[in-house]
Amino acid sequence: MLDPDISTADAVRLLSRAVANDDPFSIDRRRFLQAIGMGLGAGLVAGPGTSLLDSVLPGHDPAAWALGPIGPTDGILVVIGMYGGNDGLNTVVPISDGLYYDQHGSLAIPAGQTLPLDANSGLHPDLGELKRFWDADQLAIVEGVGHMQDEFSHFNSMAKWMSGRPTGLTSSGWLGRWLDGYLGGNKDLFAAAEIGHSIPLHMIGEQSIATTVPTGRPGFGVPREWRTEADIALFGAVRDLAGVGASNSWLGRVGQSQVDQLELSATLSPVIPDEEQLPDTEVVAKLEVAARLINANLGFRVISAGFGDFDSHAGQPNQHPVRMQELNSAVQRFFATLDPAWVGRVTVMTFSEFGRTPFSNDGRGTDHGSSAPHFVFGAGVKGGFYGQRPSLAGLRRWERMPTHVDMRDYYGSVIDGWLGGGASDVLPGNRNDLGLFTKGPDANPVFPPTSQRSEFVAMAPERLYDSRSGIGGRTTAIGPGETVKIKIAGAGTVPASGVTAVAVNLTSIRPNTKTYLTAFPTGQSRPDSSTLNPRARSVVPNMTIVGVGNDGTISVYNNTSKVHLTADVMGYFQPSGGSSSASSPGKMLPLTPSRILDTRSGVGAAKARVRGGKTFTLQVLGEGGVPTSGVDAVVLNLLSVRPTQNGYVTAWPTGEDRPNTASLSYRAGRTIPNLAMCKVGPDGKINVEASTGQVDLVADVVGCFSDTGAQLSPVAPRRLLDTRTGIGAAKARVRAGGEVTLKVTGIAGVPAGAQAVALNVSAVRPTKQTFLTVYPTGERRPEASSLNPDPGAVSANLVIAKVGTDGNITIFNNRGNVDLLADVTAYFI
Amino acid sequence: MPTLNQENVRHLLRRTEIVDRPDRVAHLLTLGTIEAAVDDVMNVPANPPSASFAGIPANSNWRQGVRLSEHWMDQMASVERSFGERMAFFWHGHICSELGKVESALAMQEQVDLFRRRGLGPAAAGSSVAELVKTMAIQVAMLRYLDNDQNYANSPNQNFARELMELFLLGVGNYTEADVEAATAAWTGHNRPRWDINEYVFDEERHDSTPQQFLGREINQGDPREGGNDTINVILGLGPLGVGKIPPGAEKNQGRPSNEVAAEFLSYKLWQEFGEAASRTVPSGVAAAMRRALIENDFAIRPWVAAMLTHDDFYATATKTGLVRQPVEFLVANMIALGLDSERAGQLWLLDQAGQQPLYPPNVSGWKPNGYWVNASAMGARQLIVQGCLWALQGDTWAGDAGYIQFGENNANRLTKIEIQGRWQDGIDPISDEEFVDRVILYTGLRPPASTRDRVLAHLGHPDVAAWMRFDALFLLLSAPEMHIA
Repeated sequence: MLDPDISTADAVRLLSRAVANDDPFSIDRRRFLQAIGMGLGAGLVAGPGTSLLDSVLPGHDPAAWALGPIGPTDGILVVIGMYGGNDGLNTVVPISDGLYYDQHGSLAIPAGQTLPLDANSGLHPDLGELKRFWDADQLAIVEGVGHMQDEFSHFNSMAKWMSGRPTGLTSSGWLGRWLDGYLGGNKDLFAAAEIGHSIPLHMIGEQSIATTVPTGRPGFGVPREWRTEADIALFGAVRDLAGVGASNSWLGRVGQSQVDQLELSATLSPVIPDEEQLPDTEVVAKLEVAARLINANLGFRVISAGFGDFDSHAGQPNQHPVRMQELNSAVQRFFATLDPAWVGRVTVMTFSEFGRTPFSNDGRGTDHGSSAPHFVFGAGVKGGFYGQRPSLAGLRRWERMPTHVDMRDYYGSVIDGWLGGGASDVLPGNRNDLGLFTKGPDANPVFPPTSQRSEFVAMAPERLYDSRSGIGGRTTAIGPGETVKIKIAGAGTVPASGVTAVAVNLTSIRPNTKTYLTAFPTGQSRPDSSTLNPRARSVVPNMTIVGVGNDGTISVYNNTSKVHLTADVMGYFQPSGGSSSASSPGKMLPLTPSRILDTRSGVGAAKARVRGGKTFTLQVLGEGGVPTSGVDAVVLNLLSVRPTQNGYVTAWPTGEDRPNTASLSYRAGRTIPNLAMCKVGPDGKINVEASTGQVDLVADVVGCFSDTGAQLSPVAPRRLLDTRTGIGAAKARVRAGGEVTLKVTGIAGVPAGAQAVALNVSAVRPTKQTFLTVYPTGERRPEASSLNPDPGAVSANLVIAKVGTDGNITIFNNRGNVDLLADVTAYFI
Repeated sequence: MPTLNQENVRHLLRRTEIVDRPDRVAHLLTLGTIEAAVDDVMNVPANPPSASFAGIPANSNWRQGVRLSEHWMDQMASVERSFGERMAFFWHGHICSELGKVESALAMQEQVDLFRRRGLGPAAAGSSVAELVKTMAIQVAMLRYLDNDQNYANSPNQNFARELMELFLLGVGNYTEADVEAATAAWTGHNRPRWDINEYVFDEERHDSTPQQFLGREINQGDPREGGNDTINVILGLGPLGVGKIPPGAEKNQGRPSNEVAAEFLSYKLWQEFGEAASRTVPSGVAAAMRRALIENDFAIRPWVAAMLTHDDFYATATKTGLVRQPVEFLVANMIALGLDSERAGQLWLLDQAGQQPLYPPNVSGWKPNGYWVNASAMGARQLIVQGCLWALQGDTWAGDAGYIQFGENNANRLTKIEIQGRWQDGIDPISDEEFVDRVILYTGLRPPASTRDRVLAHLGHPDVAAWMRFDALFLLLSAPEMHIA
């Protein structure tokens, strides 16, 4: 039987298409979401690094920046609700008004105790943080805010405040309606948050609704250490059960919130600490959580938190100061937790149902009032007094102060001034803009900070780990359920620091039964995807790009059986702009796969099988789209075709000694591919040698590392495709000649502008010997292969896939039918 | 008249007794008609026992509150006709007080026990809305919660009088500020002897005895102690003062008799609790029946509830699918399924995270239904509630044998340790996954749809799920979406 590969014509060389450097962070979020057509499921991002965030958020992974979900000048609004009706007169004290002292009686605060604002006004003594903002000209005090129709019922008043509508049905709130416009009907769990466990009306829109974020790490949804895989299966079952009800039924909504909860849990668990580690006072804890959410750059534009009780009908002297202290502590905590880089993006505002009566009652309290002052503060705010101080003149007992600023003007001014406009859609009617801001949100922080992107440093391959011989510190096989750490930083010629990720060929050697291995950055939770599916009693390689943990190691987990493991490093990634002792680091130029070597047909080398022990050289510069200069390394998919014996292939740069590493391991009679990254010799060539036997070799170049191109950002491995369960494509095996088009950008933490993705592609039990070709959607399918799976087996290979139209790649299957899986591990941008 | 069949009986029981226990279903089906079934359900015990605070220091309100809540949930889970407990919980959410403000668990107990005994009561009790509200109004809990104990003639405090109308009896917008002021005056004098003494005293000197105009009627002209009750009588149209009229200055319902408006309002609240909550409407048939029952029976409670539970609208599909279990109901359903009491499965802090901690309503309007509970954070807390109940069941250790034995004991040895572990041991073949799941379904009294059962079995068969993880089946059964629907 002829190998299916041979029957095709010579490789067609395609010019690599110039990839538009479409910076996703230059388009606004609404367009971004429309482009991807779905909500962002924010995954974790792998890789270490140091950043300001580490000091604020220990253990946080700064590469989460790479998710970059909010636009370059998008502002963030933090809303603090004071529930019960805040006594405005004791908050912004009219110290020069004798009527205040008469009417408020024993509740009034002596002028000398207040924090001076101006000759006529003082702040409540416990609001020191707000005083700081006042002194910095960044506190706006809007006086006389209320709704024009008096309403003394908490619920009606609160409903009116929250809905932003003075009359009519209150089924939605002002920020909810803003969210409707912002999301445009798309679902996104990470756009607006209410810290707490119930969603108040102001965060409910007609179509969209805020996400509740607990005040403390979500307790459910993160796999437990002692039963990780079983929990992954359990969560899968929860998802399946959740999907049964119709979406517009309560059964369906319950299910949807269970699914949302799992999604949130995965994302929020690293961001929010356990409840015990948060401050005791509820509103202070909530504002700390709010700051953490902002720091994690998940995309939240609005974060709301409420607290109470402000309804001081009696005993106000014991109650109100405590509320003021809590508010002050919360503001303080918020800004202490917030990364300074975000300060220019954040505005904080307060609201409440209504103020309180100017006359105190004899219970030493006040009753439901009307208007009250509110605060807006932040780096963009123009400090000062706005609105009009309501007069106390002529008021009798039970009478309330007049309202001067319609709350719709208050809200509208914030929406237009800080949230990018659209107030007239959210709050119909004539409005006045109060002019609360001197400027819009800062352009900082920049997404992603370029220091977090990485460039490749090619190496002559080095074996850093071999459990058979003790390289890397181990001389026994890896047992079932065991995870080993492989030292990368500081091992061999890899530098001791500044290594963000590594390109490593992992080879599993003769496990006694079926198993799978997963490589992941040390310190991250092990993802539910496999890097390597070794076959029993055989040697199976897989190249992988994996982020390096903070301790400079990667972890490899073995599921069952006992297996030996080797790890050969082809190169490492370091932050762009860093210095390196090795050759100048490279950016990755992804190419449409192009066949530059085929010893069966005489492409790139003589038309003859390669003999073991004999080195031949392969020209790479200038071939298959690889530029003729400025190239440090090439990325090749190497294929060994039906060798006569078991052995391995080594590829290394010309001009250097052959290293004792394997780029590919082969078995007699089989066709096995592996991705290899090989540093290029000074003459633009690489050396290739097979160890034993005779074998045909094929190489498709899929990319190269040069001084122009894209930089690496690893992501926590996420499954993008599984035709067995219907993830990413139809739930059906891919037939002969069939293709799957898979969206790879705008998902799983890969931004829309990524030029290439690193995918671990697995073929599950094809019915015939076949090959798979992964290529950019929209281009002509090249004569290249990414995988050559054997019938009935599970095989995998790392694929560096250049991204095609609309962020898609295409996977072609030649013969038989097969199930396909694809896990994304990194992207290049 | 609705048909007496499995589906309707199960629905009736889930709404009134939280769980449709198989033995209750079987019993009701023998009674011939829905009316008879409803009678049975409403035939609640006369004197439900009070919680005992023995062993808790006198000033420890928090701990006493925990005991009170847990006792109440135990009653919901174990009493044979538990509708009285469930109805009391409705009143607790409708006529709220909150332990944090009241600062006395004993006072809260007085209120809660009033609702448990008089919120429905057996036929002989003759409970009525008027009597319930009047009694509650001068209990220490309400006096403290809505500050009526600081409502004095020379310094009125409107809080209670306002909420009595707005939230308890009439609904917002059906009165004017003048009525609020009048009611406030009428309710003066019902105080406590001192700020730190939790007793009721009527202080005539503090009572404002000037006659008042309230909803078009003259009140507060007789016995000073009855001035407050005048407002209730007028609103509900009871007694010699005559029924009130919604004044022209009100926002809505101007000119209508106040008892009609009150009947509508109360029926709406009852329907939201037991019928369906999202549409914010009451189907006209059952609304009319409930209204009539209240007005024709001087606002007696039982005919009103019976009118709802026997009406066709209560058994409509939209009603059956339209209510999400409140967190307390969800926890109690878990306790019943697993045979746990609250000492082992209480988890009040998780109820709080799910949005509902008994004795601590978020504000005076109580808890909001349905959508209020259905968000990621609150549902996450429910997952933890299930996990917590299962851990309570298994004892402290995962790996040890002790936990499994306890499950066997709780269920009268219906599932042995070996059967649960699913492993071959001591010459005994393990039971299959199918048999295990079916026995669990039988013993917990749950009735999952076939799709749930299938998915649970698929999970047990998953290669990564070890034999000793069979308890996952319980987790999935108890957390499946249908468990969250009332």
